[in-house]
Amino acid sequence: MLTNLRSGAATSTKTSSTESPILVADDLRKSYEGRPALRGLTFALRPGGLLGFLGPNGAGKTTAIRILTTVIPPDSGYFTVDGISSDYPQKIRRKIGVLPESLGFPKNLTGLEFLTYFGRHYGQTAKEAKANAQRLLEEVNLQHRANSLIRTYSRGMRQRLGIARSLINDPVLVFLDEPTLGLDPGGQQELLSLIERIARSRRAGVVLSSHHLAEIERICDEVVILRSGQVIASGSVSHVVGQGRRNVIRIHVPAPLAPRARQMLEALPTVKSVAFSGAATDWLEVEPVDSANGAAASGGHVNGHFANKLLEALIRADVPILTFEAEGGRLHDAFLRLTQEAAQ
Amino acid sequence: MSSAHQYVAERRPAPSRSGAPGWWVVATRELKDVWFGGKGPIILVMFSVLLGLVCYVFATNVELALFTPKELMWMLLQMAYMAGAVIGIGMGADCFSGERDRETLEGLLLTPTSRTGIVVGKFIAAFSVWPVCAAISVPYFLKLTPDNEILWITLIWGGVCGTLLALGMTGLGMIVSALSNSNKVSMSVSLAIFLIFLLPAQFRGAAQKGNVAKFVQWANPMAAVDEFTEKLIVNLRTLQEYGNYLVPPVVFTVLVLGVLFLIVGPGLHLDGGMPRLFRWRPRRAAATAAAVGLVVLLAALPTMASQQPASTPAQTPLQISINMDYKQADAGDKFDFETVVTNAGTQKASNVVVAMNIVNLSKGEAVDPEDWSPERTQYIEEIDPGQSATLSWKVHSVFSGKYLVYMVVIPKPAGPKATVQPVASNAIHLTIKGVTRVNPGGMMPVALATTGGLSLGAFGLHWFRRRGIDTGGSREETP
Repeated sequence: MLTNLRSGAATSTKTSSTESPILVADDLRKSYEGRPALRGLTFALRPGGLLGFLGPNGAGKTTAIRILTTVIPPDSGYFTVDGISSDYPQKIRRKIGVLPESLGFPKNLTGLEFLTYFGRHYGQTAKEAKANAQRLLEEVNLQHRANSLIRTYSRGMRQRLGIARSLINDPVLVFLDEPTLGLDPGGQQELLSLIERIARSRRAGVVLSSHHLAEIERICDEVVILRSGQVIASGSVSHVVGQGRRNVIRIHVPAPLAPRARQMLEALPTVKSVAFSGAATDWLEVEPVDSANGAAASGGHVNGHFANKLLEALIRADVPILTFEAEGGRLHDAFLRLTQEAAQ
Repeated sequence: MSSAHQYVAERRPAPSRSGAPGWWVVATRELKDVWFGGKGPIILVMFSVLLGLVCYVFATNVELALFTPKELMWMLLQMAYMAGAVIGIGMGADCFSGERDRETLEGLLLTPTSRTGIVVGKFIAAFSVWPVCAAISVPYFLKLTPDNEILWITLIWGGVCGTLLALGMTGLGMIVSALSNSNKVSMSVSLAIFLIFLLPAQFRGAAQKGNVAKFVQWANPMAAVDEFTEKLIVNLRTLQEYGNYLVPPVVFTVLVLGVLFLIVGPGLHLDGGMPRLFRWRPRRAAATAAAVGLVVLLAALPTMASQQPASTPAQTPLQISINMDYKQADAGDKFDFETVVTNAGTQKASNVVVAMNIVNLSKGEAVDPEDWSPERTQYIEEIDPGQSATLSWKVHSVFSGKYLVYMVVIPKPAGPKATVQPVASNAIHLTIKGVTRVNPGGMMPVALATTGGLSLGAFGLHWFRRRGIDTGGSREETP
């Protein structure tokens, strides 16, 4: 089946390559009144994999998740969940758990009643559903508010309740669309830790859409980056970070000393060019000679030896180094670079 | 199957199938929401207050003989099923668009319960208010009914017609709701549709008499139900005679529920909007609007009465006298008097009409004599020359004030192009003092007990729902 997939099929670094994908999306397309929202989404996720679904606002993430969760049908394309074809949406809904981007809660229900109600949709008896709901409330640390009306919950508590609701049927695949939206940093941290813990302990596949790239980078195995409905990068986190790397070192020095520092660095044989960073007169961008020569960069990565040479030269010249960073070393940088390139 | 699939299959137990079907899960949840969440009990209390007020006024009117008890039974029934229709369309209109506004629809659509199952469950809950409303209205009918026959006709056929209308209107509201992007749109459109059903009754009298207008009245389920129940209850006509008036509400209900469960239900989606079948087609819509406009125009065309040339009225030999000069009474009192019509001519007078008129001497509402007397007009077949005929009259004093009651005698015109000169009697000067009755027809205890009982029931349900639950006020906690 994967042979049908186009470039961009994600491969997990933390799961065995022999495992069949839990989720396969093949050339999914969707338009709203002639305006394309999704243009050929293709990727795969293996069981237990944690996939980050990234993209700027309007990239098509929510549309993609709504299609994959059978809320809306695609115009064309195909997907399977745990081997079940998208032609059987009701069967797929039995297998998946979803926390939508904007999940409203019936505010006159308690958390326990809410989860019990949804449990019964999956064929559980009232007794089974209630026991399951109590267990899930403990799992998301809401057991002390089980009998409180949901309208008294904070946003973070509601999101945790939403995650519990997404696990009510013990799904093989969980979709979480912007689960940290509107939470304070502490709440975001707590929620993402919860997601990671649940994904690892249950070994459920997780598709996580978020703008918090640092957290995605920390907890996800794979990422898919969308822009204008198209996949512009996908694969393991390290692979995507490598794709977006610009191979530049940025050095912040005192402005009066910047011209001298620039001259010194340009004189080094492993340096290809030195330039001021935009309009700034105290930031220098140093590009090594082409990696093909093997002198300063290899495999698209600035090597540490080259960085040491730069630092050594500046220290010898008694130029204070205020900041030193390798641009493109984080998912955040890769994301910005890739989405900007795609826009151009 | 790969090892991963085997692992997943082993780890996850097969979901229990012993639970209830999805539509029942939705229905029970929605029923709890309606009845424990407060919406249902509040509607019932409002309904009982409305019934109580109307019955109080009706009972007052019974004492004043403005309407017969049969008419009041029908009017109360009409009010009950109209209220049921309004409640049904209102409850239906909130079903899906309300969930869209509250952002809870997506969560429901993500469950394995089929779209049709969701629609069925919500329909049951939305419709559930009508049977309870109907049950609440029974004591009022018991109190107002003149006899058991009328009571049974009212309860059986009122129940059938009210149920048909409530089913249809609930379904119609749900269709509108399923297609609307917001609750505001859904409620507005539903209200507009409901008003369209009432519109034909607002046509001027002549416009309701043409064939097209009669068809519009017949085809309109609400007007058909009005006609059907009125004929059966007020005029004691038979089902065989007026059974065809049941066709429109039955067809309407079947059609609406068919569209709801077979087309709109399976196609229920997150954002509302028309299913393919109902895509907006400007040309077709314009043609439909033009056709509807034409029908309305035809129905509204006034019947043009031909103008007759004026002619000189013939002098009549008839005279009329009255045996009362004045009367002082309390509002609600009844009194009798007699008139004597004398033929002072030389020829026999036939088909003589005697009519009562009542004039309000104070500023205020004009008097409709039909409200004041069960027989506003009486007829005398023949009066021989020099002979007299005596007629008895009954007047019920309705409102306080000063009035003149007088009679006119009108002989039969000689032909279709002839006219006659009516002759008036002396007037009775009537002075009526106002009286307030607290408990007309014994209706007050029923009205108060029903409303009070329902209010207590609503409070009890509220308490039952909240026991053991932390409602927390407006407390917000940090994550």
